Amino acid sequence: MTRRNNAPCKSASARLLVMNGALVAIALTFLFALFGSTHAQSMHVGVRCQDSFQDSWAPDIDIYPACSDFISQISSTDTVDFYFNLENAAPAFESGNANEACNSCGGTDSVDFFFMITHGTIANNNANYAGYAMWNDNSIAWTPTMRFGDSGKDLKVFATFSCDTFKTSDGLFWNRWQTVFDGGLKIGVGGHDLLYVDNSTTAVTDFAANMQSGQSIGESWLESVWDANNDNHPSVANTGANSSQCWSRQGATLSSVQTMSTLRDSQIGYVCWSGWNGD
Amino acid sequence: MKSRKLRSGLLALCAFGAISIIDNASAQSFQTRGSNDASLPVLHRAGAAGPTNVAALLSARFCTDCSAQTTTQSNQLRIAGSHSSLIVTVDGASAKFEDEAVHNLAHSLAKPVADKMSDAALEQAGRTFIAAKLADVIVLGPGEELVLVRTDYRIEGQQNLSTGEVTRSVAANRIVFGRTIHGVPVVGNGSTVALTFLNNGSLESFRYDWPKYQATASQNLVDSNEILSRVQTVIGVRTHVIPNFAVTTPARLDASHPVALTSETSLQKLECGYYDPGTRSGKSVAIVQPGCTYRVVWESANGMRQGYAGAVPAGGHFEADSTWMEAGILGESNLSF
Repeated sequence: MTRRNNAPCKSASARLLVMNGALVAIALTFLFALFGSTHAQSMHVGVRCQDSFQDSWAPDIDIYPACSDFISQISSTDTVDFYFNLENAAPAFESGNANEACNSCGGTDSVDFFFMITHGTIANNNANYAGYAMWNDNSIAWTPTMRFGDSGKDLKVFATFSCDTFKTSDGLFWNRWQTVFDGGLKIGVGGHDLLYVDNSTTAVTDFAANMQSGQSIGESWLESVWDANNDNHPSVANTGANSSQCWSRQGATLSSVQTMSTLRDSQIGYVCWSGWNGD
Repeated sequence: MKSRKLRSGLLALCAFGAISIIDNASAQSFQTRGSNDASLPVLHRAGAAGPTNVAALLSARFCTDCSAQTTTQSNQLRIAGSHSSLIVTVDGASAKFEDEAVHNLAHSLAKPVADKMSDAALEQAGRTFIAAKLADVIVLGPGEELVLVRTDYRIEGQQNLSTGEVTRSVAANRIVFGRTIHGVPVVGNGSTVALTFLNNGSLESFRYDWPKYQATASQNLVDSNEILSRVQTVIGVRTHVIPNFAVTTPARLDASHPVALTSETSLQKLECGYYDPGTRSGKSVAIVQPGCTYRVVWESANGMRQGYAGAVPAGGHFEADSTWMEAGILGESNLSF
């Protein structure tokens, strides 16, 4: 077991950056675009990834190269505020917790676009809970504790390369994700069944590149993740006031998602999703 | 998703003997070719027409609105127009075309899932399209065949939160073809053609990786027990969970009959042949060696899951390849057959 001795919330100026498998503390105060962007306003992006887990409570996943390459690609048009692992990270996902909107804590609502790779799950004792594995022993950030999009920078896109959390086939997707979207989150992408980690980083780099080229966030995810491994089960989900609006909003791009109206609580009438290899 | 067993079976039969992950028809087909040798040549990916020529050919045919040409961070050539785009990899052997105007019609043409295009209809549509539109880039060499690998569907769903009603539909239909060389499949993302059709038959996208191959010296192949042992070793390293038992070849291997590798990980899919990851992987692929792709799933007692994918070499002695993670883990120096 490899132990990561990091304390993401200790300093506002120090950022935990994982590049090429090594942990490096580095200040990422400004990362300006290197190339022209297809979207008018640069988004603030937060990245959190975890490749090993305390006392091996979950198996290693060799994903730091993918996270680094995602950052390399997306930072050509957008601003990466932080790159943290998931040690002591559950509060950064919790509605009402001060860490949620805290940028130096890696809080979800402290950025416009949150990207994460870790294990995912549906609780085996309550199918109304989807969760993400944190580094700490048996620590899981559960969706019913989350409410994204109504604090800090109002998170707009939540992208996770994790298994099962976007499962829809059992009809309980909304039970698991209602509180998350009720806050105004506009687009979520993830896996509705298994996603495979491998030696390639193209799934997430193509995801970023496709979005940057103007393709919708959802289609970018579906195509890049399926293309990297045809056995993957990528999914995109979003909300709308009605059915027509829901499908229209699923076409949101990096540009339009920033100006698209925010729907919260009773304003949401529909949830809609798309996925390859089932739904 | 529906996956054919052809790719998983042919090499497994000839090289690994005992492993029985092949349907009878494929076994018979292979045996009649008389190629029961436990060796396969290493293939070199030969240069295609060059990215500029391929881009010109394809854009004239499919991407008539394309004009803006850029180079991506991974040195791919990208040509885009108002509603379509074409990407060609640096070796010219791979390309991807997407028509956003067609994609934007998909939802309005969605049908009940039960009415999705059949495998047979998709295969027919795919073969017709390739013959009519891609014949000059999907070229078959001597002894090569274009074979059906799988069909996939993009499923849409929505829930009316007032009534709770959930509806599902199929918005797009996808078929993937692969290649066999003298009956032995190419596995991995190389040698694939994927075509996506809307329910009205219009093409939404295609992508392919289709190099020319040149055979060189052969590698002797290891048996099925060794293949499984290699997968087990690799997964132990990747998950940081060391196996405490030796895996043996089962009578059958598929998702319904997985092979335990550790107490919480199991092998659910193994496809053997020439392993070509393809250039869309972002890696420069020069040689294509015998190998087996694997899909391994970890599942904890409380139901948390994770998929691991990759490929292990199938040769007794395999060539060093810095881009092949598993070859590095296994290390040729430790192997002798």
